[in-house]
Amino acid sequence: MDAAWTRSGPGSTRFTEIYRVPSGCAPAPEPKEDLVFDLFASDLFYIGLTIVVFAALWLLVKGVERFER
Amino acid sequence: MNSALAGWLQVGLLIAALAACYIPLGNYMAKIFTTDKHWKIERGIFKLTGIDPTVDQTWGSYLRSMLAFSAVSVLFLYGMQRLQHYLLQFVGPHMANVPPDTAWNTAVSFTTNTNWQNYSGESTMTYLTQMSGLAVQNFLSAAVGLVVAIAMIRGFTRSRTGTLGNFWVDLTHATVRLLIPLSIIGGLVLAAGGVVDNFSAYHTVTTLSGAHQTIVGGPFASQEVIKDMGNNGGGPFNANSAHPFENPNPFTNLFEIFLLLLIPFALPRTFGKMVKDNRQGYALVAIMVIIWLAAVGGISFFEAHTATGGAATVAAGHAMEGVETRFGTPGCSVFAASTTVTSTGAVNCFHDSLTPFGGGIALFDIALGEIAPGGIGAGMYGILVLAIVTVFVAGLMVGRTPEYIGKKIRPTEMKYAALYFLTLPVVILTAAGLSIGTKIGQSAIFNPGPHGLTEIMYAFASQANNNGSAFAGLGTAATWYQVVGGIVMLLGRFAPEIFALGLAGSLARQSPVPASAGTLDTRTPLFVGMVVGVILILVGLTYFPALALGPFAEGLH
Repeated sequence: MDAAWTRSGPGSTRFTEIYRVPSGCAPAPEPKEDLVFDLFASDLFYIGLTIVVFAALWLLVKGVERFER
Repeated sequence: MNSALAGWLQVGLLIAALAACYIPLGNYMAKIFTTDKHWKIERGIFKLTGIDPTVDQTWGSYLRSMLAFSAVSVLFLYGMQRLQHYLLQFVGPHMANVPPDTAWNTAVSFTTNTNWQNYSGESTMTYLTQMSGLAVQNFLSAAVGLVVAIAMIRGFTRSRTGTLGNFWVDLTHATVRLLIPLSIIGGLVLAAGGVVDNFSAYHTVTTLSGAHQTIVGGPFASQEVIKDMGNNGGGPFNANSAHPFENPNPFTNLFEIFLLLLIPFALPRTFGKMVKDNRQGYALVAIMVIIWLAAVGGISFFEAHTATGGAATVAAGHAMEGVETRFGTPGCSVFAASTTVTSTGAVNCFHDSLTPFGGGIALFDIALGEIAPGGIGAGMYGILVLAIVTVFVAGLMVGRTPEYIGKKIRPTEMKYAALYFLTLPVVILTAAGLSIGTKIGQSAIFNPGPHGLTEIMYAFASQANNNGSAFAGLGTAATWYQVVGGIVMLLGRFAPEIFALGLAGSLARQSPVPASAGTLDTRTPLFVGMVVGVILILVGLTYFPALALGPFAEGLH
């Protein structure tokens, strides 16, 4: 399905055929096995990154509290 | 009617509408954050979630609650996007799962109230994701910003205590009593004004010339209102408020600008009410109005002043590239100024197509750091920190005692204020420097020279200040920009809040100091002028090299 309006500039939106689903309730194409692994690794990476950044912020709060005392 | 006159009439109408709401809305917000009584639905939420509303939290505990809530929000929204193909898709178009890097950037973006969008909403998100994922965060992230400002204000109103309130109670009150009721009213006004709101599937039609066009439907009015009022900015359409289904006519355009400014401009009244001195609120709102009007005037001037544009601009009479003809340059200029001073990021024209100086002002607005009037809540705590810096500078210059609202400004408070102010420039300039200095960052720059530098600066300033508007022309969908941008949004949102609440905690522990002959009166035009001066000097000195090499160099070329 094409967007009714797309942002100009190459790379501003990035959808590969793997992610694209045609309208009309068609199922998504089955991803290849190595792609499934890549996606799983990516998910782990981003979940881990979220935890790391929030842990750093948490430690910053602890550090500032300690500095106050 | 002359378009410049129409533009200024529009500004006049806006000021009148905002002035009419200033006292009632400000008083109402003060009431909902000072009452001990809870509505039945709120008591139900507390019971369901195991919250004890009688517990008061220290600033550290308040922050940890906020960080935990935000971390869970990011992970939940990420999961929802990654699994949207398998979730209920009983209405609207079917979509594939969102790719991991885009899903993470979007989850962070909506949780931090940034709403930076590396995707086209109409071709990426299902209605379910839009409504129960992104729109929910539009409410909650706005409420989080608001309650941090309220906790900051309590630093001034409380004495000899280490507590600043209860994060969960404040969050519930902000959402249930303020954002949801106002959104229902605003959503109805937008729908009545012609903004589309349905669960229609997409239709492909054949145009008169034989081409095919996809007509998109969706629940837009209900999302548009919180997108603007919550200073979020992330719309269901890639074209955002330039799309006729989100913003069909000059009335809805004016109403959307009103929504952007409504809560941030009313918060100084809340502040005045809570510290029991309404003139303090008038002083802060005067600072905000001066800076907002300067931004509106500056962008309007450069977009209408054809000498700063090329041949096409001269022929059109205005800088019409990237501007919706329904709104013209006045409608674009007021919107662009309002969206960049409020950290909203919604756009009704293409900021990349603003004239170099017009775009430079938009960048400068964002670099101000959400203070005039700033994002929902973020503007309030930002300007309070800058007022504290001003009181301190005034103390050094004219020998006044550094006090603000009955609290002494000691070295501890100044350390917090300095850390607050330094965080954003460090985050923005480090990310921009890494992107310019590395091949992986450079590979996504499509416009070389000063304009390319402006695009990078704008992108990271927008993300760090949780604005979310884009200059575009930069390939921010590249993984480098998705990941670095996400980290920048998280640090830009939460690190300053840590220092702001640390400062509030320090103030709350103090005993009140009665005003004396040596106390600087912070309710006078002199103080208003001083704060404006301090803001311009601090931001100017911090970002002048980047502004000079980017928009100034391009504009003077």
